[in-house]
Amino acid sequence: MKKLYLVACLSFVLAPHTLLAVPQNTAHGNKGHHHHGGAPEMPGIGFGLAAAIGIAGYLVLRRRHTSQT
Amino acid sequence: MTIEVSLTSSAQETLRPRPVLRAGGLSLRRFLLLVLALTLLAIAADQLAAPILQTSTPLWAAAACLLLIWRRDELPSAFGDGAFEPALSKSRLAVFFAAHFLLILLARWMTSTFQPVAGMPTSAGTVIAAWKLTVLVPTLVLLPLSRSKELLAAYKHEIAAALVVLLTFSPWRILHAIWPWYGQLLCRFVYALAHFFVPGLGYTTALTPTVTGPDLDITILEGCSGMNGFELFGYLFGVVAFLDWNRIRKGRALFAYFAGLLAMVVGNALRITSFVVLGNHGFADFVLRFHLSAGWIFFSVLFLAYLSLTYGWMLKKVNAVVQPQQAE
Repeated sequence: MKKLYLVACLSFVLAPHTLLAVPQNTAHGNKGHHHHGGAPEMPGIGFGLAAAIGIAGYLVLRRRHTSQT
Repeated sequence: MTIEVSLTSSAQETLRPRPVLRAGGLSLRRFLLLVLALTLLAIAADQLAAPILQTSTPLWAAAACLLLIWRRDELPSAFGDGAFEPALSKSRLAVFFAAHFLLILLARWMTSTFQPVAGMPTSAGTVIAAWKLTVLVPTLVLLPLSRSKELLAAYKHEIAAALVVLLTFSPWRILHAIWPWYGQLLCRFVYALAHFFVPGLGYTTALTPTVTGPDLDITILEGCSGMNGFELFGYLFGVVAFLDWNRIRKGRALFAYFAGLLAMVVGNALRITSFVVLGNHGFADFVLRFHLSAGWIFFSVLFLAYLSLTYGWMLKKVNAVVQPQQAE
């Protein structure tokens, strides 16, 4: 638990600047009723949620694997 | 001295505990942890004092090496006799800090020259990006280079992991360089897959190519390149490597890492294809509203699916001790 806490702190300190970037401008203009989409880089919240899901899933997988062996 | 008992499949072997000497290994480990901690602090100070040096990869690489050596519980055999007791001399420390100080002075002096091209996807920008990695060089002064062979042999996995982190944890620069080519390839791949499901689809070639459809056009920006998934995979795989460092087979983990990065790139192409198909089948508003958050969830699910397929394969086999019952 202590090590996990340390990793969390270290990750926070080392969080790359790109994850805090402002979304790029995606305005390309619509043509009439036509939609126009892009998928620019999304700042922190999406990444944080995805990372939390990934780590939670991994820990479940790890626990299941440990109990099997 | 610590006595450990290892699990084996042989009932006879389990009766004989295997002694493992730890004194020398622990001493060396403490020394390396100290060196890496000093490196981390010095690099952070460099980047604070000379912002032109800012890049996260040397920090990540040093942190990865530090954490993995910390996690490691095996004794490096080459240093297992305890005869090697490394120490940080004052002179070495002085040279180390002097080298960082000179680097800061040089970087501040060259800032006005380097600033216009730093971060640019040009050869000059690449040279400057490579130059930023010199913040790692003074660390060599602290290491006992006379025992470098043994050191490399003992900690080759941790050093290799740090190199992988150094080279792959910041893929945006590489992406900027290859985007004119990769963007077209991605667009053509998406078009080739999606046109089976959406009649009347087309694409325009530009620096940011667009797949045009009857209801929805999808412009593929650099942000759609899959590098977010690439980065997410790197961080999550790093957590896996850290927590299971003593249980995973290092060669297989390395293979799984690079194969996983490739899976993320292919998965991203499928993600954009799904946007094109859904967006042109009456779900345009849904795609526009959720394509960002859905993208992150998609990458997360893709990581978990990939990990569930490879996790057991990466782990070392642990043989359960089976005591055969003999009939009396």
